Amino acid sequence: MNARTRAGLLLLLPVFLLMAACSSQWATRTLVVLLEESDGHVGEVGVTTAAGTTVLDEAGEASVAADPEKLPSEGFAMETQEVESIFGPALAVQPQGPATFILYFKPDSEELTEESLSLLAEILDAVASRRSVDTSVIGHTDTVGTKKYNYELSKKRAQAVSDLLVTRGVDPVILQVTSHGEENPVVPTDDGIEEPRNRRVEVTVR
Amino acid sequence: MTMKKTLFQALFVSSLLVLPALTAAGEEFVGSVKTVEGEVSLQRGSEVTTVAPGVRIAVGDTLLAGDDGAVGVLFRDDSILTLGPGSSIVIEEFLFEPAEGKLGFLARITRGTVTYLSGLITKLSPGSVRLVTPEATIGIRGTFLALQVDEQGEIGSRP
Repeated sequence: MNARTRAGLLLLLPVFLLMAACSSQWATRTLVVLLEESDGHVGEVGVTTAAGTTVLDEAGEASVAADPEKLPSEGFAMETQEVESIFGPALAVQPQGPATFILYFKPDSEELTEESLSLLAEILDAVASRRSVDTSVIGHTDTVGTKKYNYELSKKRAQAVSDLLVTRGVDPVILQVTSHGEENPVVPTDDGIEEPRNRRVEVTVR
Repeated sequence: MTMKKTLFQALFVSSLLVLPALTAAGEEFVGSVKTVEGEVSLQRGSEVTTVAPGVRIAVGDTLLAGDDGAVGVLFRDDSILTLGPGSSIVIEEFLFEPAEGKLGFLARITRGTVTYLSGLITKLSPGSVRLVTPEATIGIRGTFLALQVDEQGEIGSRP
Protein backbone atom coordinates (compact mmCIF):
# COMPACT_ATOMS: atom_id res chain seq x y z
CA MET A 1 0.00 0.00 0.00
CA ASN A 2 1.55 3.33 -0.98
CA ALA A 3 1.39 6.53 1.02
CA ARG A 4 -1.33 8.02 -1.15
CA THR A 5 -3.70 5.09 -0.69
CA ARG A 6 -3.05 5.19 3.04
CA ALA A 7 -3.95 8.89 3.16
CA GLY A 8 -7.11 8.17 1.19
CA LEU A 9 -8.12 5.44 3.62
CA LEU A 10 -7.44 7.75 6.54
CA LEU A 11 -9.75 10.33 5.02
CA LEU A 12 -12.42 7.66 4.74
CA LEU A 13 -12.04 6.61 8.38
CA PRO A 14 -14.67 9.04 9.74
CA VAL A 15 -17.09 7.73 7.12
CA PHE A 16 -16.51 4.11 8.24
CA LEU A 17 -17.02 5.14 11.85
CA LEU A 18 -20.24 6.92 10.96
CA MET A 19 -21.46 3.87 9.05
CA ALA A 20 -20.62 1.65 11.99
CA ALA A 21 -22.53 3.96 14.32
CA CYS A 22 -25.56 3.95 11.99
CA SER A 23 -25.62 0.21 11.46
CA SER A 24 -26.14 -0.42 15.15
CA GLN A 25 -29.32 1.66 15.38
CA TRP A 26 -29.40 1.31 19.13
CA ALA A 27 -26.86 2.83 21.51
CA THR A 28 -27.27 0.54 24.50
CA ARG A 29 -28.16 -3.02 25.25
CA THR A 30 -29.55 -4.91 28.16
CA LEU A 31 -28.12 -7.95 29.88
CA VAL A 32 -30.33 -9.88 32.29
CA VAL A 33 -29.09 -12.70 34.54
CA LEU A 34 -31.29 -14.83 36.78
CA LEU A 35 -29.59 -15.46 40.13
CA GLU A 36 -30.01 -17.96 42.90
CA GLU A 37 -31.43 -16.65 46.17
CA SER A 38 -29.43 -17.18 49.37
CA ASP A 39 -31.81 -20.05 50.30
CA GLY A 40 -31.17 -21.76 46.96
CA HIS A 41 -34.50 -20.78 45.44
CA VAL A 42 -34.50 -19.83 41.73
CA GLY A 43 -37.41 -17.90 40.23
CA GLU A 44 -38.39 -16.99 36.70
CA VAL A 45 -37.87 -13.86 34.62
CA GLY A 46 -39.16 -12.86 31.19
CA VAL A 47 -37.12 -10.54 28.94
CA THR A 48 -39.55 -8.99 26.48
CA THR A 49 -39.07 -6.81 23.38
CA ALA A 50 -41.54 -5.91 20.62
CA ALA A 51 -40.53 -9.17 18.91
CA GLY A 52 -41.12 -11.56 21.78
CA THR A 53 -39.95 -12.95 25.12
CA THR A 54 -37.04 -15.01 26.35
CA VAL A 55 -37.81 -16.79 29.61
CA LEU A 56 -34.99 -17.43 32.09
CA ASP A 57 -35.61 -20.08 34.73
CA GLU A 58 -32.20 -21.48 35.68
CA ALA A 59 -29.61 -20.05 38.04
CA GLY A 60 -26.97 -18.15 36.06
CA GLU A 61 -29.05 -18.14 32.88
CA ALA A 62 -28.70 -14.87 30.96
CA SER A 63 -30.14 -13.09 27.93
CA VAL A 64 -29.10 -9.99 25.97
CA ALA A 65 -31.54 -7.61 24.31
CA ALA A 66 -29.67 -5.42 21.84
CA ASP A 67 -32.58 -3.99 19.88
CA PRO A 68 -36.14 -3.24 21.05
CA GLU A 69 -37.49 -4.51 17.72
CA LYS A 70 -35.66 -7.84 17.74
CA LEU A 71 -35.95 -10.93 19.90
CA PRO A 72 -33.71 -11.02 22.97
CA SER A 73 -31.00 -13.69 22.72
CA GLU A 74 -31.79 -17.22 23.80
CA GLY A 75 -30.85 -18.03 27.37
CA PHE A 76 -27.16 -18.82 27.86
CA ALA A 77 -25.18 -19.84 30.92
CA MET A 78 -23.11 -17.13 32.58
CA GLU A 79 -20.22 -18.08 34.88
CA THR A 80 -20.47 -16.96 38.50
CA GLN A 81 -17.12 -15.23 38.06
CA GLU A 82 -18.43 -13.12 35.20
CA VAL A 83 -21.60 -12.23 37.13
CA GLU A 84 -19.36 -11.16 40.01
CA SER A 85 -17.12 -9.05 37.76
CA ILE A 86 -20.05 -7.15 36.25
CA PHE A 87 -22.37 -6.94 39.25
CA GLY A 88 -19.92 -7.09 42.19
CA PRO A 89 -20.48 -3.54 43.50
CA ALA A 90 -24.29 -3.80 43.17
CA LEU A 91 -24.28 -7.20 44.92
CA ALA A 92 -22.00 -5.89 47.69
CA VAL A 93 -24.53 -3.27 48.88
CA GLN A 94 -27.38 -5.80 49.22
CA PRO A 95 -28.99 -4.73 52.51
CA GLN A 96 -30.26 -7.04 55.22
CA GLY A 97 -33.91 -8.03 54.66
CA PRO A 98 -36.67 -7.11 57.09
CA ALA A 99 -37.13 -8.68 60.53
CA THR A 100 -40.66 -9.83 61.35
CA PHE A 101 -42.14 -10.40 64.82
CA ILE A 102 -45.54 -11.72 65.84
CA LEU A 103 -46.98 -10.66 69.20
CA TYR A 104 -49.98 -12.44 70.73
CA PHE A 105 -52.79 -11.11 72.93
CA LYS A 106 -55.14 -12.24 75.66
CA PRO A 107 -58.72 -12.90 74.45
CA ASP A 108 -60.82 -9.79 73.62
CA SER A 109 -58.02 -7.60 74.95
CA GLU A 110 -55.19 -5.33 73.87
CA GLU A 111 -53.03 -6.83 76.60
CA LEU A 112 -50.03 -8.82 75.37
CA THR A 113 -49.34 -12.34 76.57
CA GLU A 114 -46.37 -12.55 78.95
CA GLU A 115 -44.32 -14.37 76.34
CA SER A 116 -44.92 -11.72 73.67
CA LEU A 117 -44.16 -8.91 76.09
CA SER A 118 -40.65 -10.32 76.36
CA LEU A 119 -40.25 -10.04 72.55
CA LEU A 120 -40.30 -6.25 72.71
CA ALA A 121 -36.58 -6.12 73.54
CA GLU A 122 -35.78 -8.03 70.34
CA ILE A 123 -37.89 -5.62 68.29
CA LEU A 124 -36.02 -2.69 69.81
CA ASP A 125 -32.72 -4.37 68.91
CA ALA A 126 -33.85 -4.89 65.31
CA VAL A 127 -34.97 -1.25 64.98
CA ALA A 128 -31.61 -0.09 66.32
CA SER A 129 -29.34 -2.45 64.38
CA ARG A 130 -31.16 -1.80 61.07
CA ARG A 131 -31.44 1.93 61.81
CA SER A 132 -35.01 1.48 60.62
CA VAL A 133 -37.03 4.41 59.30
CA ASP A 134 -39.80 2.08 58.14
CA THR A 135 -41.42 -0.26 60.64
CA SER A 136 -45.00 -1.43 60.25
CA VAL A 137 -47.28 -2.49 63.08
CA ILE A 138 -50.35 -4.38 61.87
CA GLY A 139 -53.15 -5.50 64.19
CA HIS A 140 -55.30 -8.63 63.75
CA THR A 141 -58.06 -10.47 65.66
CA ASP A 142 -59.74 -13.87 65.63
CA THR A 143 -63.35 -14.16 64.40
CA VAL A 144 -65.16 -13.80 67.75
CA GLY A 145 -67.35 -10.66 67.52
CA THR A 146 -68.48 -8.54 64.57
CA LYS A 147 -66.11 -7.43 61.82
CA LYS A 148 -66.51 -3.82 62.88
CA TYR A 149 -65.75 -4.63 66.51
CA ASN A 150 -62.71 -6.63 65.49
CA TYR A 151 -61.42 -3.86 63.25
CA GLU A 152 -61.50 -1.55 66.29
CA LEU A 153 -59.97 -4.21 68.53
CA SER A 154 -57.07 -4.90 66.17
CA LYS A 155 -56.54 -1.16 65.83
CA LYS A 156 -56.28 -0.90 69.64
CA ARG A 157 -53.84 -3.82 69.66
CA ALA A 158 -51.61 -2.21 67.04
CA GLN A 159 -51.78 1.09 68.88
CA ALA A 160 -50.90 -0.62 72.18
CA VAL A 161 -47.78 -2.17 70.61
CA SER A 162 -46.87 1.14 68.99
CA ASP A 163 -47.21 2.90 72.38
CA LEU A 164 -45.03 0.27 74.07
CA LEU A 165 -42.32 0.77 71.43
CA VAL A 166 -42.51 4.56 71.65
CA THR A 167 -42.27 4.56 75.48
CA ARG A 168 -39.14 2.44 75.05
CA GLY A 169 -37.54 5.05 72.81
CA VAL A 170 -38.66 4.27 69.23
CA ASP A 171 -39.25 7.43 67.17
CA PRO A 172 -42.99 7.43 66.28
CA VAL A 173 -42.13 8.83 62.84
CA ILE A 174 -40.79 5.43 61.74
CA LEU A 175 -43.98 3.55 62.71
CA GLN A 176 -46.92 2.83 60.37
CA VAL A 177 -49.79 1.53 62.47
CA THR A 178 -52.62 -0.26 60.62
CA SER A 179 -55.51 -2.57 61.41
CA HIS A 180 -56.69 -5.60 59.44
CA GLY A 181 -59.42 -6.76 61.87
CA GLU A 182 -60.39 -10.41 61.31
CA GLU A 183 -59.68 -10.24 57.55
CA ASN A 184 -56.16 -11.65 57.56
CA PRO A 185 -56.06 -14.71 59.81
CA VAL A 186 -52.96 -16.91 60.08
CA VAL A 187 -55.30 -19.83 60.75
CA PRO A 188 -58.52 -19.47 58.73
CA THR A 189 -61.58 -20.38 60.85
CA ASP A 190 -65.37 -20.17 60.76
CA ASP A 191 -66.96 -17.06 62.22
CA GLY A 192 -67.10 -16.82 66.01
CA ILE A 193 -64.08 -19.08 66.68
CA GLU A 194 -61.53 -18.25 69.36
CA GLU A 195 -58.07 -18.73 67.88
CA PRO A 196 -55.09 -17.49 69.91
CA ARG A 197 -52.80 -17.57 66.84
CA ASN A 198 -55.02 -15.04 65.04
CA ARG A 199 -55.07 -12.59 67.99
CA ARG A 200 -51.86 -10.90 67.03
CA VAL A 201 -49.88 -7.88 65.95
CA GLU A 202 -47.25 -8.27 63.24
CA VAL A 203 -44.27 -5.98 63.44
CA THR A 204 -42.02 -5.72 60.36
CA VAL A 205 -38.76 -3.86 60.87
CA ARG A 206 -37.30 -2.68 57.55
CA MET B 1 -46.24 45.54 64.80
CA THR B 2 -45.23 45.49 61.16
CA MET B 3 -42.14 43.58 62.17
CA LYS B 4 -44.25 40.98 64.00
CA LYS B 5 -46.59 40.65 61.07
CA THR B 6 -43.71 40.09 58.68
CA LEU B 7 -42.22 37.53 60.99
CA PHE B 8 -45.55 35.79 61.22
CA GLN B 9 -45.91 35.80 57.44
CA ALA B 10 -42.41 34.45 57.06
CA LEU B 11 -43.15 31.63 59.49
CA PHE B 12 -46.42 30.88 57.76
CA VAL B 13 -44.78 30.75 54.33
CA SER B 14 -41.92 28.59 55.58
CA SER B 15 -44.41 26.18 57.16
CA LEU B 16 -46.11 25.90 53.79
CA LEU B 17 -42.77 25.10 52.21
CA VAL B 18 -41.99 22.45 54.79
CA LEU B 19 -45.35 20.69 54.72
CA PRO B 20 -45.10 18.99 51.32
CA ALA B 21 -41.73 17.57 52.30
CA LEU B 22 -43.17 16.12 55.50
CA THR B 23 -46.07 14.58 53.63
CA ALA B 24 -43.77 12.99 51.10
CA ALA B 25 -41.60 11.58 53.86
CA GLY B 26 -44.40 10.57 56.22
CA GLU B 27 -47.08 9.03 54.07
CA GLU B 28 -46.18 8.56 50.45
CA PHE B 29 -42.78 6.97 50.79
CA VAL B 30 -42.40 3.53 49.27
CA GLY B 31 -39.03 2.46 50.63
CA SER B 32 -35.88 3.59 52.34
CA VAL B 33 -32.20 3.64 51.52
CA LYS B 34 -30.30 1.12 53.68
CA THR B 35 -26.79 1.05 52.24
CA VAL B 36 -24.66 3.62 50.44
CA GLU B 37 -21.15 3.44 48.97
CA GLY B 38 -19.42 6.43 47.35
CA GLU B 39 -21.52 9.16 45.82
CA VAL B 40 -25.24 8.61 45.33
CA SER B 41 -27.84 11.29 44.67
CA LEU B 42 -31.59 11.51 44.49
CA GLN B 43 -33.51 13.71 42.11
CA ARG B 44 -37.04 14.67 43.17
CA GLY B 45 -38.59 17.15 40.76
CA SER B 46 -35.86 19.72 40.12
CA GLU B 47 -34.18 19.11 43.46
CA VAL B 48 -31.06 16.97 43.73
CA THR B 49 -29.90 15.78 47.15
CA THR B 50 -27.11 13.53 48.39
CA VAL B 51 -28.31 10.14 49.55
CA ALA B 52 -27.45 8.63 52.94
CA PRO B 53 -28.89 5.58 54.73
CA GLY B 54 -32.35 6.39 56.11
CA VAL B 55 -33.42 8.56 53.16
CA ARG B 56 -36.97 7.70 52.11
CA ILE B 57 -37.87 7.03 48.49
CA ALA B 58 -41.08 8.18 46.80
CA VAL B 59 -42.68 7.40 43.45
CA GLY B 60 -41.15 9.61 40.76
CA ASP B 61 -37.73 9.73 42.40
CA THR B 62 -34.60 9.18 40.32
CA LEU B 63 -31.64 7.50 42.02
CA LEU B 64 -28.20 8.18 40.54
CA ALA B 65 -25.09 6.30 41.58
CA GLY B 66 -21.83 8.07 40.71
CA ASP B 67 -18.82 6.37 39.12
CA ASP B 68 -17.78 5.01 42.54
CA GLY B 69 -21.31 4.87 43.91
CA ALA B 70 -23.60 2.01 44.94
CA VAL B 71 -26.87 2.01 46.86
CA GLY B 72 -29.34 -0.49 48.37
CA VAL B 73 -33.06 0.23 48.89
CA LEU B 74 -35.55 -1.82 50.93
CA PHE B 75 -39.10 -1.27 49.71
CA ARG B 76 -42.30 -1.51 51.74
CA ASP B 77 -43.24 -4.81 50.14
CA ASP B 78 -39.89 -6.19 51.43
CA SER B 79 -38.32 -6.20 47.94
CA ILE B 80 -34.70 -5.09 47.64
CA LEU B 81 -33.17 -3.04 44.82
CA THR B 82 -29.47 -2.25 44.52
CA LEU B 83 -27.55 -0.09 42.05
CA GLY B 84 -23.90 -0.34 41.06
CA PRO B 85 -21.58 2.46 39.83
CA GLY B 86 -22.79 4.77 37.06
CA SER B 87 -26.44 3.74 37.36
CA SER B 88 -29.65 5.66 36.92
CA ILE B 89 -33.15 4.44 37.80
CA VAL B 90 -36.58 6.06 38.12
CA ILE B 91 -39.24 4.56 40.39
CA GLU B 92 -42.30 5.10 38.20
CA GLU B 93 -44.88 3.06 40.06
CA PHE B 94 -45.20 1.39 43.44
CA LEU B 95 -48.62 0.07 44.44
CA PHE B 96 -48.86 -2.02 47.57
CA GLU B 97 -52.41 -2.15 48.87
CA PRO B 98 -53.16 -5.87 49.07
CA ALA B 99 -56.65 -5.32 50.56
CA GLU B 100 -57.71 -3.32 47.47
CA GLY B 101 -55.85 -5.60 45.09
CA LYS B 102 -53.63 -2.69 44.05
CA LEU B 103 -50.23 -4.19 43.40
CA GLY B 104 -47.51 -3.10 41.03
CA PHE B 105 -43.91 -2.02 40.66
CA LEU B 106 -42.34 -0.31 37.66
CA ALA B 107 -38.82 1.07 37.51
CA ARG B 108 -37.01 2.47 34.48
CA ILE B 109 -33.28 1.88 34.16
CA THR B 110 -31.39 3.98 31.62
CA ARG B 111 -27.84 2.86 32.44
CA GLY B 112 -25.72 0.89 34.86
CA THR B 113 -26.11 -2.26 36.91
CA VAL B 114 -29.08 -3.25 39.06
CA THR B 115 -30.02 -6.22 41.22
CA TYR B 116 -33.59 -6.88 42.31
CA LEU B 117 -34.85 -9.34 44.93
CA SER B 118 -38.62 -9.55 44.72
CA GLY B 119 -40.96 -9.15 47.68
CA LEU B 120 -44.66 -9.36 48.48
CA ILE B 121 -45.92 -7.62 45.31
CA THR B 122 -44.45 -10.43 43.18
CA LYS B 123 -45.70 -13.04 45.63
CA LEU B 124 -49.28 -11.72 45.63
CA SER B 125 -49.44 -10.72 41.97
CA PRO B 126 -46.82 -12.48 39.82
CA GLY B 127 -46.11 -10.48 36.69
CA SER B 128 -46.96 -7.04 38.08
CA VAL B 129 -43.31 -6.23 38.78
CA ARG B 130 -41.50 -4.81 35.75
CA LEU B 131 -38.09 -3.32 35.14
CA VAL B 132 -37.93 -1.34 31.91
CA THR B 133 -34.73 -0.60 29.96
CA PRO B 134 -34.32 1.14 26.57
CA GLU B 135 -34.38 -2.30 24.90
CA ALA B 136 -36.67 -4.54 26.91
CA THR B 137 -39.19 -5.01 29.67
CA ILE B 138 -38.14 -7.50 32.32
CA GLY B 139 -41.10 -9.18 33.98
CA ILE B 140 -40.34 -10.81 37.30
CA ARG B 141 -42.25 -13.85 38.47
CA GLY B 142 -39.55 -14.29 41.15
CA THR B 143 -37.15 -13.69 42.71
CA PHE B 144 -33.51 -12.58 42.29
CA LEU B 145 -31.95 -11.10 39.18
CA ALA B 146 -29.18 -8.84 37.95
CA LEU B 147 -29.45 -6.47 35.03
CA GLN B 148 -27.04 -4.28 33.09
CA VAL B 149 -27.72 -1.51 30.59
CA ASP B 150 -24.54 -0.49 28.85
CA GLU B 151 -23.08 0.77 25.57
CA GLN B 152 -23.33 -1.74 22.73
CA GLY B 153 -20.36 -4.07 22.82
CA GLU B 154 -19.44 -3.36 26.42
CA ILE B 155 -21.46 -6.05 28.10
CA GLY B 156 -19.28 -8.74 29.60
CA SER B 157 -17.61 -10.79 26.86
CA ARG B 158 -20.88 -11.73 25.21
CA PRO B 159 -21.76 -11.48 21.50
